Amino acid sequence: MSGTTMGTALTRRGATRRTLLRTTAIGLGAIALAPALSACGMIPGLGGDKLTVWTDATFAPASDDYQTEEINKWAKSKNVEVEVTREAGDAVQQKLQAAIESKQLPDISQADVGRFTLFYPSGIFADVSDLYGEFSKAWGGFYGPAEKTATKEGKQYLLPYSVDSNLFLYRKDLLDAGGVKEFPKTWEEMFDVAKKLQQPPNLYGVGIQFNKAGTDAESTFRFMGYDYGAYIVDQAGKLANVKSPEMLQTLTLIKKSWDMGVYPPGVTGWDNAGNNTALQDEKVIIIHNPASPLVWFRTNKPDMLPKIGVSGVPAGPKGQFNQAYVRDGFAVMNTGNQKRMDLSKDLMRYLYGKDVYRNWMNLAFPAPAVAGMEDLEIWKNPQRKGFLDAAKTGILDGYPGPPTAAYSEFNTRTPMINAATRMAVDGWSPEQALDELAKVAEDVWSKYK
Amino acid sequence: MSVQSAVLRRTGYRDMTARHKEWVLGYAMLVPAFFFIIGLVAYPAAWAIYLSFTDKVIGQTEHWVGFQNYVWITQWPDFGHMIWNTVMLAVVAVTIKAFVGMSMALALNEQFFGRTVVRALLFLPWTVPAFVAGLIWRWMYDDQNGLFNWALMGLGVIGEPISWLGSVTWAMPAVMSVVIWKGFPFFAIAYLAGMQAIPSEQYEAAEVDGASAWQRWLYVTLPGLRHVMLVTCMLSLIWTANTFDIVFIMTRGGPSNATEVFPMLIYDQGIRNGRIGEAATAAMMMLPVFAGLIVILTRYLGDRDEETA
Repeated sequence: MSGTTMGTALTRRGATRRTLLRTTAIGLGAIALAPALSACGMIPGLGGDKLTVWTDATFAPASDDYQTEEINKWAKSKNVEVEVTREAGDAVQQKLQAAIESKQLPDISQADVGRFTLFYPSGIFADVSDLYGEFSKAWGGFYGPAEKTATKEGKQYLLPYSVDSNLFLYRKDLLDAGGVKEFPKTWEEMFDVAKKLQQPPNLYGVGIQFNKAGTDAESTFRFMGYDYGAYIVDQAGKLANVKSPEMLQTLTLIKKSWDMGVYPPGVTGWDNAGNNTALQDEKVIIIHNPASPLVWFRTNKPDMLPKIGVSGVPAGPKGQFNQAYVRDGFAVMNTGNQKRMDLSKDLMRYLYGKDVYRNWMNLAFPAPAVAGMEDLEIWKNPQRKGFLDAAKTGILDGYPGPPTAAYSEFNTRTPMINAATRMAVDGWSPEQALDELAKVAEDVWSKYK
Repeated sequence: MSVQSAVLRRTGYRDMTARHKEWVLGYAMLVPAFFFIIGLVAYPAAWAIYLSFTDKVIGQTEHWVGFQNYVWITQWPDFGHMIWNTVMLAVVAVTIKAFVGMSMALALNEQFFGRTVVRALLFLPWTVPAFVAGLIWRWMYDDQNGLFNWALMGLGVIGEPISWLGSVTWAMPAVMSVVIWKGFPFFAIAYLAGMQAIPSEQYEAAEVDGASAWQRWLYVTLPGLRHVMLVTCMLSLIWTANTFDIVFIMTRGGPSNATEVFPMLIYDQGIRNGRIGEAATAAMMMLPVFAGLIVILTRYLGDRDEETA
């Protein structure tokens, strides 16, 4: 259509080109101004006083639903609009990345130790030392692993809510039937028992992932290493001598266990659900995992639940360490809007309230981050008590150093799993796997000098 | 809009000839598209190129590091393997997709009962989101509760479960099968449309000359589909080399590095570690190959337009 024809057509409908241009200009201006108006609270429903809370979906949906419900109750009582999003996997992490770069932060974000450590250097987390002190006083203190995670240069930037651990979940009935009265004390004993009791191809000894999608195994192998005195970092969090005899000993044990044939052949393709499924389907005797399968058994196979034993990590020549890490934590974001940050802190006070926190704990599967909940009925169950003990006395991954961004990045490269799969899948020797492990460590830490 | 107003004021729109008015309006109409291209294509691309030369980490200020990231990626432990896997996945999968697509198109070009329904069903794999397809196929290939092991063991073909996704031998073919399943309808539909554009007289003439079905396909159908085949293969090559979601969901690049493809590195560095500079570099390293393919494609399409004109 030519300009003239178009102009005629517009005029015929009673709209001149000037009107069209003016209308378009007003429309575009309104669109451009909308975010600004919204931020000032002038447009309801487009942000304004709406508090945004980004949370993770966990393996215990009942605890998630309860928490969301309580947040909404709080919002109603305060006459505040709140938007709670709950997403699985890495979704919150991905959203946070975009939020940081676009400076459109939520008001509160859930953060585990990895996410918190990774994003702490970007300065997005508000100083919550006041709240931390308040909750610590109310609940008789935070457990050590929670405190170490949340504290940076003497101040707290994270409010830990739960501490979890990967412990050994095993078929107690099968061990009993095989004359094994208690869970093996050392790693070598554990593999021997697994070999003795397994009945392949229907039942294998140990369900540990030899695949980078199964990140649970990264901590399994790492804690095996700690028991053997193999460390990645020193006490200051600086890179230690990774190519140590102790690390070689650890890798040699992993290779030996693989050669013993105690793992189902599919472990090289398992993700984090693989070991859960194997135990739930009664296809393996021992797995290393958080308590989520217990939640599953309680709901889906209650008759199996009493047959599951829970044990700490076996010992090695240099000691025995259980893992502890902050699974659920809340970070009040440094949005620069004091009113919203105060509201966020108020919501935190509500979630750390006696009833709300205790009720949540009864529905969730990890241990709490604070003392003062040890009287709960759930800890009388020996299966759950192990997780509480680990929360109190366990060590953080990255031992003996503090949580650092370098270690967090190293962790995401799943170096121990890679070393294990190099040996199991590619037929590498422990020495070759160790060489690659050391190179990866040097590569990561070279970026943090 | 303001540009248009300014032009109108300066030159006196009413005094222009019809040709000039059309010229002005034409350019004014292009302005939104121009800004869209700048905003959504040129700016992000230029920004990604810039980031690839920096040490940008999420939430932190970037610093210029020159070619450091490029050197770093070439020293990545699985670099060679990733290139090999990416090329193999793209070439083999596209070849099979083209073959399956052609077979389907030939079958669907014939008259038979229920042809419309079959044609509609053919689209299904293409319309299923890659994420959903990955999850479904992951379950089918699952070593513990998967459909394939259940069926094969039920039929007595195998004595114990095969670890499809955990075996170096099977993992890549398993991933490839899903990529092919998801992608072949694109070829089939394109070929089918191409076949229907070939004049029936050509087939009739060939038949009169005594050409067999094979010869009709070889000397009439195939040359008639030459352009469609090139375009589909080029596009699919680019899409398949960029495959991420299916690999991520099914194997995460494992076992070991058996299915590690280049986009996985982009995800790991960019999303998991927040190292945007390194992730951008990995993306940029794929650029010359894709740019080459796109140049061939656009030049070919340009030549074809001239031929048609």
